Amino acid sequence: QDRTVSGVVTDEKDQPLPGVNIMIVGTSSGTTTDFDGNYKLSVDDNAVLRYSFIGYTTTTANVNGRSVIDIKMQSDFESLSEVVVVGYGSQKKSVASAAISTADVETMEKMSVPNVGRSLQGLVNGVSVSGVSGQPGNNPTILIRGVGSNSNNRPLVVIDGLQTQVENLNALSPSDIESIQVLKDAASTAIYGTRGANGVIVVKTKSGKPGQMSLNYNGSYFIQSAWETPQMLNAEQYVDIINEKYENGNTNLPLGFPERGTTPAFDTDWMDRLFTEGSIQNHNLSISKGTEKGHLFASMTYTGQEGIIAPEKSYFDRLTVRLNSETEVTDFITFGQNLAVTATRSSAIPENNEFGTPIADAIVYDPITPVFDNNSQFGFAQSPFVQKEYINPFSRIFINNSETSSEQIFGNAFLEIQPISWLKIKTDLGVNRYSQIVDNYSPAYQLTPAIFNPNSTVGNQSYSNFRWQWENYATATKEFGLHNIEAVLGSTAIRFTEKSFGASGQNLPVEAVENESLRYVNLTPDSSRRAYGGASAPRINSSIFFRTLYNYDEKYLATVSFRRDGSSNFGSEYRFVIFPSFSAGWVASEESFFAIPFVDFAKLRVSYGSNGSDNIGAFNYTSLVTFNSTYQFGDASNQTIYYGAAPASLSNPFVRWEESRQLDIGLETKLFNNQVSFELDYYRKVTDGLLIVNGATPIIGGNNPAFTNVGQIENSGFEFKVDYFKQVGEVDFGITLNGSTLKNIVTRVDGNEGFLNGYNWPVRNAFISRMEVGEPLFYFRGYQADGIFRNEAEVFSHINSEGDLLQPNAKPGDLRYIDVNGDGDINLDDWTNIGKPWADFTFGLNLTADYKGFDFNMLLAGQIGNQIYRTFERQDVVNNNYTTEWLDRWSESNPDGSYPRVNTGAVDPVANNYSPSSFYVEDGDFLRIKNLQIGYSLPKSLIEQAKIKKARIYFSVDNLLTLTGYSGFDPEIGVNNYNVSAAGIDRGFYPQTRNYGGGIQVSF
Amino acid sequence: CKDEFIETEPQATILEDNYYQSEEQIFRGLIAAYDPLQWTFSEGAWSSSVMLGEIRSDNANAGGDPSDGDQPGWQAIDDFLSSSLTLESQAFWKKGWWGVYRSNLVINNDNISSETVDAFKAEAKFLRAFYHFDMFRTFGPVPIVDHVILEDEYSTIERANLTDLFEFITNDLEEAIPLLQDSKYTGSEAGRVSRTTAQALLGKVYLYWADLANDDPNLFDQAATHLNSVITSGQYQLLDDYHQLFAFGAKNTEESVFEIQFTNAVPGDWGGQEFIDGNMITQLVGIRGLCSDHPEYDAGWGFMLPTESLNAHFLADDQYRRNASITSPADLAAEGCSVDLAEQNTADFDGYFQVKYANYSSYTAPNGGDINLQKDPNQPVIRYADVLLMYAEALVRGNGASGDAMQYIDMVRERAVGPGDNSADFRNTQQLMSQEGLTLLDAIWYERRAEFAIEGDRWFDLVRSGRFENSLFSAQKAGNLDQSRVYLPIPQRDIDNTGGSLTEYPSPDLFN
Repeated sequence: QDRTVSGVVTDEKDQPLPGVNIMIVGTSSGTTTDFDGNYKLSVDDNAVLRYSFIGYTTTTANVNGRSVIDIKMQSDFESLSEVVVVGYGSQKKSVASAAISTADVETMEKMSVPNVGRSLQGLVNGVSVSGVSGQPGNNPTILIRGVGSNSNNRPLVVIDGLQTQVENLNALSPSDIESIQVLKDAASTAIYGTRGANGVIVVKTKSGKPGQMSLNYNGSYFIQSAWETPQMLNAEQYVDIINEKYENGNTNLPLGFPERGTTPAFDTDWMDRLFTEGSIQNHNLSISKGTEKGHLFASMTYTGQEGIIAPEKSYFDRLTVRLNSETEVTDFITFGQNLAVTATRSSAIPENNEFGTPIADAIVYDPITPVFDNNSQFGFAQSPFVQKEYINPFSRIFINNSETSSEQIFGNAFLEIQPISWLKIKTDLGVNRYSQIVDNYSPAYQLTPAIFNPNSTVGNQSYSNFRWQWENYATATKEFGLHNIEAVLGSTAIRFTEKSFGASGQNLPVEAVENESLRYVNLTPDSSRRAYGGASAPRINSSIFFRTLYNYDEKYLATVSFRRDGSSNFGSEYRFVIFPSFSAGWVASEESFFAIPFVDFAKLRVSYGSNGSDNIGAFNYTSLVTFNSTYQFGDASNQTIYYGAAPASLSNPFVRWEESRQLDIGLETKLFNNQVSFELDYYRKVTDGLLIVNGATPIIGGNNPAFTNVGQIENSGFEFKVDYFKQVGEVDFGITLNGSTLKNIVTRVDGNEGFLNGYNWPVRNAFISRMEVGEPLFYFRGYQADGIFRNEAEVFSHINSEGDLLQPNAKPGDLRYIDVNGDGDINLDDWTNIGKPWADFTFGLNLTADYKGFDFNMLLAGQIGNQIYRTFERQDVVNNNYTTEWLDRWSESNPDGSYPRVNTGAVDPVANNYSPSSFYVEDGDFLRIKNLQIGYSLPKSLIEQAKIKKARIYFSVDNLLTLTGYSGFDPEIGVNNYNVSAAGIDRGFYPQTRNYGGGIQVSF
Repeated sequence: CKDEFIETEPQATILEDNYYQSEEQIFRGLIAAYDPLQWTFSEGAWSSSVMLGEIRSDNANAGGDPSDGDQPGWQAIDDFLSSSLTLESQAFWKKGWWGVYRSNLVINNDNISSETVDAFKAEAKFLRAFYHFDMFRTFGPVPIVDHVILEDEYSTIERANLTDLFEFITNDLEEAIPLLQDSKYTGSEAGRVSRTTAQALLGKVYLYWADLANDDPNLFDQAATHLNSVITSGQYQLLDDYHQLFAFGAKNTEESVFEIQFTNAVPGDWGGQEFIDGNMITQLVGIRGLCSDHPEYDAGWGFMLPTESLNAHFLADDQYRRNASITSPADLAAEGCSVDLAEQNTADFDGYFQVKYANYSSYTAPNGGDINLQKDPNQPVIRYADVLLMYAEALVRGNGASGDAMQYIDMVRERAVGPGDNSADFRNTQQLMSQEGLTLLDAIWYERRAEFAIEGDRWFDLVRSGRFENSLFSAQKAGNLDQSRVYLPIPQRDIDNTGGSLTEYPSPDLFN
């Protein structure tokens, strides 16, 4: 009893492990290791010591009269990385029979991207993440297994058990994330039936580790710039092309327009002037602490981003404070909570629109107009030649003043009781409150005859929503011999409400124009102050769910789950629906007859099930009455306004759940002593009864269309992931390659001749995308351009079977269109499939290497097989500028030019050179080095003195290199706001940024 | 499971299923049915029956900025080149059908019944008839829509033939007439549809029908009957001074039989589209390049430019009416105001501007909003002068003797030459006919074009009477006109969304 044993506990790499529990077996006494892994304990000579530490295999040692016992602990590989979340529980990955992907959080943390969703790009197979815009604060598009719906494709995001919308990923600090897993197949998502149809992203935020106490600081700073911008014609080239345009159109130059050959006084490169340098910085301070009885994680994060266009009007600031804790109250009661408060402040300049965006202005505006002109309003020159909806981009920025500030509280608390060893009962209450205020201000202006605002205006709109979620469930885990069963039964109730309120005023006092703080709406003195508001109906979901996980000897696996969901969004006949799923697996490598020598682990699994979506607004089964129609009666002295009421939309009492059914077959293997792991999945997902605002409603219906169930979409594809890790000498290499194929096809459209119109491009008033049976969802439409008429002979030889000219108005240099339907006439009936926005293959490749203190990481991401509809050019606008590609236009002296001739008028109003056609559709393939990073961790010997556990500095580049053939700003344009009907249509997005910078990570 | 947990009610509004239960709610439904009458901006485009009726005709051209490409839709409509994708006609189509839908919600409501409700329904029937008629004039025979169309009916929507459509329209009006208020509305309700409004419209509808049905004299007689009821009601009289008809502030005058109401009191913005309650074309058709110090007018955007043909139409003794309709840079110069001719669309500018929808500087936007959207001149649809001239025409073209037709034309002619009693010094119809070599019908055509210049009837008059011909137009415009382009094509969206059951243009057999 009087022997003292001491020693040091280390991990496999001989790094000391602090906080390891050491118990004397058979007693209740023990100790833990200190900061340097040392321990000291008084024991019997014959005592047995048990060393335990989370993430490591528990080991025991007999004292046997020794006084020094050093222990090297082996990490418990399975418990560290091989647990997957399965919705209301978790499971060892080796016995999971569902398709679940895990994101590499470590790699994510290395990027400067402040958006958690964005940093998933290239890291998870089956998940396509693409940036929509490089604007600070912008949310990316995250699509899991293709586009399953023509309306709502947002995956469900579950953060610490609380269901929320995907945009909320942007409220998280990337440094607070512990794990992200993606549930892809029906077996894993069916338990989230209501909104699981688009896949589920399960996020767990960090918690303290038992036996550990650390204080961490992560800081980084990056400079942002545009990786590429389109080159526009300079003044001389511009004057030349416009002169040629008028000559070709046989019309006179506008009054005062420079003749060809004259040198204009100004040569403004609007693109160059518009784009500038921005920055991103991120600072995170966290504390993590844990004992066997409870743990705590707290953090605060500041993220600040300034954009690359007008940084003073394009920025995103975010503050996040988080507190997570869990306490074991008694042996059988645990209480825990997660709470985050996020505040943001942001401003965005308008983009992706011909109307009212500085990017569109910079494309179209002529280079012979200077930026500034002291005689013009606000000092910005306005072009006499390019007008319509365009103004000087800087004056556009000047008049746009809008700031959004938001606060969000996001949290849950739970109580878990374990009355008997095999049963756990949990009640979990979550709340999510989001409130936002948008302040905007516009000065009075008259910039062109058509673009003016007679009164200065100030506005203030508030929006808030509130969601509570209450879940109760019981989990029973039992072993009967080799049969292992875990069953979960529970219920979920969710209620969601939203409200908005706004006020505006006009004619601000002069002082307020100068002084921002006086612009608040209640300062406006006149009668033009207005208030307005609204509230949606509560949206309520009520569900019960059940799931059984079963395995026999970890060899034969099965899962059955179902969920009965109710949603207030449907009429009484269609409110409730049941979503079942089944899966089975076979771990072949566990069989005694399994004898492939290099295969360490092999599992086959198959799943089938269904889930659904109720993601439409409330009350679409009937309609809401609105009171905003007015009509006036009265003679000259008795003018009286009467207020009317009319339904806001048509109603559809038959609207019901969208349902998707999915088959998944998967193979998981580990090879060559676990150095290589390989996973392969095939899936086929059929989404039926698609919910859509029925764009096929004719205007003659007399009101806005209702939601309706239309048609069916099928997505199928293969997904794979290969991990390879190898140690060569002192260098650790890692390669992770993942890829996904996607085949998307519309298999049915109810009524309406088998198609639905998609995106109506306002500039042409034409539907340039369509959902049609046998084609990819919202494929691009237009004429099939078949080159350029090189000479008159070619125009005259483009004839139909009757010998008539197919394009009688065409001249040499015009685009030649194919008479697709062969009716002898080029007209709108010849519009055809000229591309699709969905990539056939999406991939990511991550390379890592560690050598002594140095670490290297390179992430590549890319996609192949999609197209982009380039619609940001405006040849129909008088005197517009062109990109430098147009230098190679057809002309008599350049008959082999690759671009058509320029022309003023619409020679053929149906089929002229700027009609939507395949000429404007380009491949969107790209390969991008998303991130390249080199880090160095200071050696232990150096930092131990300062009680520092870890110190790392790194340098990093995002979007260093992009290989693409696309001539627009950026091939990565995602699906703006998940509006799939406009996917792939580029009306001038804010491009992705290239970021250079670095940071430090310190742990105490 | 507690199923009632997910029962929920909307906040801040009411479900359609729970509405239209009281007289007040049905009245609100009726107001909503009136509302589309004054949609002049919709689908991102200007929509105006005045412009449709003038710009296509020999009275006016599109105009706009010098490029001849300003508002391409209106340029295309002007040149008979508009297509099923032209937004301007889509906007017009929308306002009509939304009006029909809202009328149907009132007409087909059977939640409550009372005399008041019946009167509301009669007003809604008038509106339903008017919307159908208005769309017929622009698109040719359109479908009959007498109920809210459900999704499964979209592919069965077809154009009605002429007879069925006009039977439907006249039937609605005939059913409405006995239930409508006998006396015309005054004071704060002036402008509401009363019995004589419906009779006047019914007369006009019969006139069109008669003309298109191979000059059916029985139908002309029907027109005469109803128009005569309006005259004998004694509720209307011609305004003494023709210039006052479109003067600033003229609203629901004693000559007004049916007038579309506009107001500047509801704030509008460019995003507001159908919620804009001002007469949006006012700014559009104002004089482009006008001097900034004109005593009455602000500059506009120069659309709806009158032709030399219209100017020349006004005879020497008809200049008072001409001057109330159009002006020219020379006229303006005489008032000390110059016009920048370089601002004009040379292709469309014949040297004249219209002044019936003058862009008065006195227009204001009292409650904020954009002044360009909130000009508030009303749009007369049927004036008493029209009732008189239509009655005269119906008499001339009906079974009976033309009899006293001339006296009604004389009433209009007498007033046209100036304020006060002109009985001694105007050329009456008899004199006009003999001195100018006109038939009585020619005299009516002369009078209609002069009286209603720039009011949006010209093109439709030409079409119904078969008098449109290529020689009326400039060579460029005439080259595009053929019989198939008399009516505007139906918007592509509806051709597509009915699966093609709606045809772009009416087939000739619909007129049989």
